[in-house]
Amino acid sequence: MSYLSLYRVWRPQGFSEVVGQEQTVQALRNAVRGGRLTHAILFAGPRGTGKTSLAKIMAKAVNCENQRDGEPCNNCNPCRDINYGNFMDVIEIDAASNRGIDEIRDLREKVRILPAQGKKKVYIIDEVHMLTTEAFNALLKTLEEPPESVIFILATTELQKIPATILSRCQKYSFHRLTQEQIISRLRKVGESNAVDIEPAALALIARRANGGMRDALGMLEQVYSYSCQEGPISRDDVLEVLGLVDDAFVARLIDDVIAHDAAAIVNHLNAALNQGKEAGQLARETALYLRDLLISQIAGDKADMVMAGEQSRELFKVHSKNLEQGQILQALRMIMDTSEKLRFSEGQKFLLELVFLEISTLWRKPGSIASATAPQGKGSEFDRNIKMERTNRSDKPDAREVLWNRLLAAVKERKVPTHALLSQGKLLGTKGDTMYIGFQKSYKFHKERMEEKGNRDILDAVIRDLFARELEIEFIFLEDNKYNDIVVKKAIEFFGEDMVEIKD
Amino acid sequence: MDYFKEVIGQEKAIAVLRKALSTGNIHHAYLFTGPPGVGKKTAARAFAQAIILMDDLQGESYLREGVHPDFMNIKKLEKKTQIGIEQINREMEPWLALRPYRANHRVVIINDAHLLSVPAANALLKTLEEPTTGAVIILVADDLMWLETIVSRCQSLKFGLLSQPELEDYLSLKGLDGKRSASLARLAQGCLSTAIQLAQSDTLEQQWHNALALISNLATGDEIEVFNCAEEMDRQPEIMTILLTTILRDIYIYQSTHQSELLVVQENALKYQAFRPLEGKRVLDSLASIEELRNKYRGPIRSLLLSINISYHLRDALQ
Repeated sequence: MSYLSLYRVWRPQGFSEVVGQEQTVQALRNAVRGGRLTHAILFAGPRGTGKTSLAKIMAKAVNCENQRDGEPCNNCNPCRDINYGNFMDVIEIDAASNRGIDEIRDLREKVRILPAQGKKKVYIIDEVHMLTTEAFNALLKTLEEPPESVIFILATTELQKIPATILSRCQKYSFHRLTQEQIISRLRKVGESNAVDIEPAALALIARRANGGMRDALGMLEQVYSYSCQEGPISRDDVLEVLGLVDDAFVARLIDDVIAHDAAAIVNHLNAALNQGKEAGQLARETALYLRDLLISQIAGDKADMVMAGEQSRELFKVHSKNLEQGQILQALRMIMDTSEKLRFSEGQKFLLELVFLEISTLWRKPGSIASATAPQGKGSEFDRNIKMERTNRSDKPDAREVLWNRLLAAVKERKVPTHALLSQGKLLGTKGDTMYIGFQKSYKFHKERMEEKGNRDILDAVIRDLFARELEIEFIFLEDNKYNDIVVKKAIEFFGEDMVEIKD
Repeated sequence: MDYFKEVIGQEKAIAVLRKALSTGNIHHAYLFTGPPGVGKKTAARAFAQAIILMDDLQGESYLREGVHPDFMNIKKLEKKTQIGIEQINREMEPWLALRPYRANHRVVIINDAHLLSVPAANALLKTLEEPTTGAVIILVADDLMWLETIVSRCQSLKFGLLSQPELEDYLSLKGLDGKRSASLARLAQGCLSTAIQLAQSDTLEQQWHNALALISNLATGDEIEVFNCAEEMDRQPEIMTILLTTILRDIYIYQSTHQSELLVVQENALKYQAFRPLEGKRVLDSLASIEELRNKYRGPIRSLLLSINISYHLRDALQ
């Protein structure tokens, strides 16, 4: 007998073995027991929650020879044949591979034939959302009034793709993601019967990561125990290692660096993780999960259901939760998700990852970070000030003028975008006395003239009043194109003196 | 016989595969994911070979010629952008439903599984969950973010970027001297195929200097520099893109940290001081766009156009 994976071995064989979905199981079992089963049933829900399994159990239950209490016996001929997949009257159709109208026409023909072996013919149409529109429509009449001996069970993960006409002809049962406790208790059972010792922390980690899918959980468990060679129980670290997951403690430390604004530590930490074979995309995703946990815990308090943050990171998590504002977390979350989207196919993953963390760190340092994210020259922040100091230290006057100009432009943009567009073609030449000179090249005559109109001038005046707290006369001048740069430099040096004090503030 | 000797690094993933081979507990579906150029395909190929040769001792020559009856390799057809559903339900599924002919397993490798079209991926689901006895499906993909219903059916093995020492070892094995292989390994950023590409270029020094000059021109010069840069890049666009983005990153990292140990190429730290402070957000955006463009060099788009685009993004970040 060749090797079968855990999730196939542990497929539930009777109603009582199904984990979770209590109402659905109860309803169907009662219907089977009372012989009141409808002819078309639709199972919908996320992956690994038991749709296909329950469909198979139903097929057995209606065909079983000594069914007790609605439960199939798994011992009689029909049950065994169905388990091996050689029962003639249970037809499992892969709707995703046979999605055309021809296959459905074929099905319609065969539906009329009476069951050969059992009591009922059961059609299990799995992944039914992939049928084409024509195929769905061809199915409608049959689904509404099939011959008496036929039951259709449709299963899908994507309910929204099923036409309303199909939905209204079926009894719909929704499957829900399993809770972590349900997964843990099932995993423990599997572990015991395979004589594998697993630490509770490891089980909890698997259950958290399975995200409500039993198949995912069993798959992970199988991977972990088929890999771990050493003696003794399987620990949490084994799980992290085998699944290539990132430790929540690691992410917490990383976030700590980001808050502390320690660029070197961020780069070093990321380097270490990548060199250990962690995947850049995974790192980004796990960080996103951690941030999500922070956010949820701030909103929901103790009731929050954590995905990422666990015991190992509790202390740091509390500190972070206290220090960060919701706006900041949201912003960072958005950036991380954007980047993880971009990481998908790129080869230079490492650079992008570094940069996004550095960038978040810069953002978090800025007070009122949301506003300054868009404005190119944010104020405050030590990090920024460092850069600015450097800038003023080694650069000369034209550079400071640029800072002033950019700030002016940003302020104008906040008030009126069209004005900003006009003004941005000009250049600040400098101020002399109470007059500020703004130059336009000859080719931008239109821009200059529009700026001289009253509306735009008023806006500029108001901005200047805000920025400098005093009135300045504005003069727009033309510059001969080829002499442009010379004049800029000369005038700047000439005029730009005392005003520097105001710029640096 | 060691089938995995051509795979560099990736001990964890290989250990899982070896264990499966030695115990005979071979899962019916594997999913190999990781960034491009780190050895996924090589590993998949080796694993498939090992599974088949386990039972079919004379099969090696068949495999070498690509005619072994129990091995199938599915990849994107030329002139198509995706792997279509026909390849899954007309070619693969009927083939996989048959019993093995020479070996005890039938192995199919689906290369670039992230290129599966939506119908194709869905068509795969049922087969992937409960294939016939002896069938083994290996999906090789650059990316993990697709149908979760597929991921949940497979044993998923992650292939990470290679570490610096691993790349260095590999390069020195190929006959490069120590210093050169160290610097190439740093440049390649964990990607084996990039390392090989870099190693094959014999004018790398020269290109590095060019790249530095281009960057400083872009930082200070006019728009015309963009086109100069693009023309310069166009001789060996892929390598130049790597060099240019590396320099950009180094400048930014150096400005934020002032620690030359963190740089990819440490000798240049002093030169980076001359650049005006970069803005993180713009560097990030530009790098992201460049990464996206860079993959298109292998596509049908004219490389000069891509180079111009990339140069503009560089200028955006620098000015």
